[in-house]
Amino acid sequence: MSGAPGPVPPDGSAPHIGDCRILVVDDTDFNRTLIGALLNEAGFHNVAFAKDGFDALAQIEAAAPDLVILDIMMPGMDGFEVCRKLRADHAYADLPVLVQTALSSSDDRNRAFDAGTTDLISKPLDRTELLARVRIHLENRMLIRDLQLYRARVEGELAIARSMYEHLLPTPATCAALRGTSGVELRSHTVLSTDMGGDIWGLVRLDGGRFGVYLLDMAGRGVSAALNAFRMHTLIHELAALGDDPAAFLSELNDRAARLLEVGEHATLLYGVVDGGAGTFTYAAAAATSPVLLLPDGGVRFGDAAGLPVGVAAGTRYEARALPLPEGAALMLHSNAVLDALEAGTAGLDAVIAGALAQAGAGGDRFEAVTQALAAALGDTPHDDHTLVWLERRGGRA
Amino acid sequence: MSWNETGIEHARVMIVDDNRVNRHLLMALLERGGIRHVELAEDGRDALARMETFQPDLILLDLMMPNLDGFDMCRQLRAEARWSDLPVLVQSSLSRAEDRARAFAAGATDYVTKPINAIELLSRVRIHLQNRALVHDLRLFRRRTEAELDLARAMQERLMPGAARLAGIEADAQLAISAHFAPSSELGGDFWDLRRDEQGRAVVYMVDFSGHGVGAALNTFRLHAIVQQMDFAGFDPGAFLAALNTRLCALLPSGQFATMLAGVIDPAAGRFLYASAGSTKPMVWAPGDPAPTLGDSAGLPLGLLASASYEARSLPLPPGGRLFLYSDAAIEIPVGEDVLDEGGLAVLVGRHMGMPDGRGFLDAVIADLNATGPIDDDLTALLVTRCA
Repeated sequence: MSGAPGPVPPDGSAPHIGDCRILVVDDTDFNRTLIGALLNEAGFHNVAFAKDGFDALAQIEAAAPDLVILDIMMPGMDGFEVCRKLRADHAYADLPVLVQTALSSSDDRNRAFDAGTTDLISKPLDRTELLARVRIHLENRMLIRDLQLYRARVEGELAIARSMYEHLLPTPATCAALRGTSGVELRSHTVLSTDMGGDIWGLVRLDGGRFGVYLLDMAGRGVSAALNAFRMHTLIHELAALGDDPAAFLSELNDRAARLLEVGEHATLLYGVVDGGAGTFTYAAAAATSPVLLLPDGGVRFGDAAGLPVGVAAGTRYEARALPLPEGAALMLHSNAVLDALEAGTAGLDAVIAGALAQAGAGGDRFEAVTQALAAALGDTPHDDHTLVWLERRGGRA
Repeated sequence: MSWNETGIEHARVMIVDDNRVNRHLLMALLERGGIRHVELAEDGRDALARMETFQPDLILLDLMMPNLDGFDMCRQLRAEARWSDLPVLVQSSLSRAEDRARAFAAGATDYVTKPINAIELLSRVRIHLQNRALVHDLRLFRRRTEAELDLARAMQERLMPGAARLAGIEADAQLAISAHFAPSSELGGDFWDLRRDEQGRAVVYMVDFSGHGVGAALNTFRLHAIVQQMDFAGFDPGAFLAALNTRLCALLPSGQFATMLAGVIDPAAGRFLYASAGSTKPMVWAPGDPAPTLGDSAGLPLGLLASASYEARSLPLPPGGRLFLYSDAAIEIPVGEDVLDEGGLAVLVGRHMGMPDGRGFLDAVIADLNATGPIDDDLTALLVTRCA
């Protein structure tokens, strides 16, 4: 509870540039001594020296500096060449290189920028200018490095979290196994937003050729939504024994969620039992999106999915509803984000589906057609997770 | 390099120069370099008046101007926090070293001399704008992520007992409790809780998930959700860990696990009854003891083997006695070639164990740990004192 977390100083704090390593490259003893003395006096105590271009590249290779002060006219390999060689190496693409040139030499100045120099320092050297330029570039570099370290660390953490999230979702092997026992083909389409999100879907094993399926959409976004989604997943897992009865399952889940979640934290959820043998989908819903039934004759039906979100009020009771699932019919569950992204809501979704079905024609792959039509309608950059779960009862249309 | 790189296309540049011809020359030059949003100001005063509405990303500043010259304008700009890191590129016919020095002293970022060398000016403008765009993007990421992680961290802290609940347990169970919770990044894999069973006995547990950061935190939320569903009546530490382990095994991906200690303070027997899933060794001591007693803590971590069982153990905890629990970060601090192990920690604890104030004891131990070496994992420590 004490102190700011993480190794990075708070945004905006002055980086400690005094410790930065500066390499001074100059073939003249006097210039090296002078620049070294100016830097030391200003508090830069980590200064190294190279006497020509080869020496400079070797030293940079051995211990990368944070900034290079480079003379142009040197025997063997001049400053332009050193600069070009550094810029050709990806590792040093961002290394600030300050080249010393005479103010009057317009040609040298242009060549220096062409070679990739970051900045010029005018000769004869002026103390204030030298130190101002060195400070500006080092502060900038340290600031960028701190911010990049922060991003690398956090992105690493989020990548692990995301792989754990993916681990929650049913595998293709699980779906394939269910097809064998239930005669229902299960497919899904998930688009993860760039942030962590609160969308989860999953399966509950039941006997008698049936299975339970749920789609959960946690309110909020980012890591906090993901934390709550993991909680809900755990609760659902704990309640698998109630999976036969969608209304009881949802009511109990809500009671338990209400004890765990804070005010303002809640989830929309649909849980249903797919019975391939009887040809029914029995479900209960908590403010979920309507399940969409695509009938073999091309008709489209939206199921009722109203109800109080899960986690709002303990004691809420949910009712069971049913949709027929005849041979050849498909049932589509989709997350809120799909509707939010389509401006016209359910009517918009209806139109997208109708268009996709017309496109697919009789015997076409309706799932592919609908996911492609949705992807086109939603655009390339989803700002929220999208999940689409597709349950298709085989037979009839073959 | 392409002029259409990030930062150039949308960049906004203000030209401040009292000479109309110069202003237009510079504008033409910038436009040639791909910069389309350009504002012209006639002097320093005019420029300052336009700052708010134009919101420049860079200023090209002349020095010698009527009303307010470049030196003074630069100083006034730098006095405002929101413009403190705005690149100000001075372009002036003043070429003496003293003038350059004065400009840098006034806060200039860069300096070019007239007559303007087009390639040099554009190179410098580009470098400053690209840097600024990069910093802007990185800062945006950081601000957004920090806000998100702050929210998540607050959620994680709420998993642990708040002050009010703790005070209730302290009063009812005649205990004094102090805790330290410091994840190594915003979120962590440590978590502890304290509650009372139906006999009024205090049940305490501490968990440490493998890994750290957001991933480990997700697992603490899972474990917390499971524990909330469990029955604490007639609390049996071994059975509790076994049940928890079975349920956790069904959820955790392979390679992820948790160490845990769970126990109950039995005031009638004057003992702490506990079980351990590979946790650190619990320490207890009674008033007047010369050193803490370390309890055995061998046991399989949670999440590895669904059928694992956990041995019941106990330690003496008479009235006035103390129980000290900690995560393994406290015994993995590097000391030379080795680490500060449980023995080393016991020595530190021994130095402060007589302190009557629990908070003071924890602070002293944590200070000693920090002085020992860098702590690079989540550190949680808990001190429970039985009232005498």
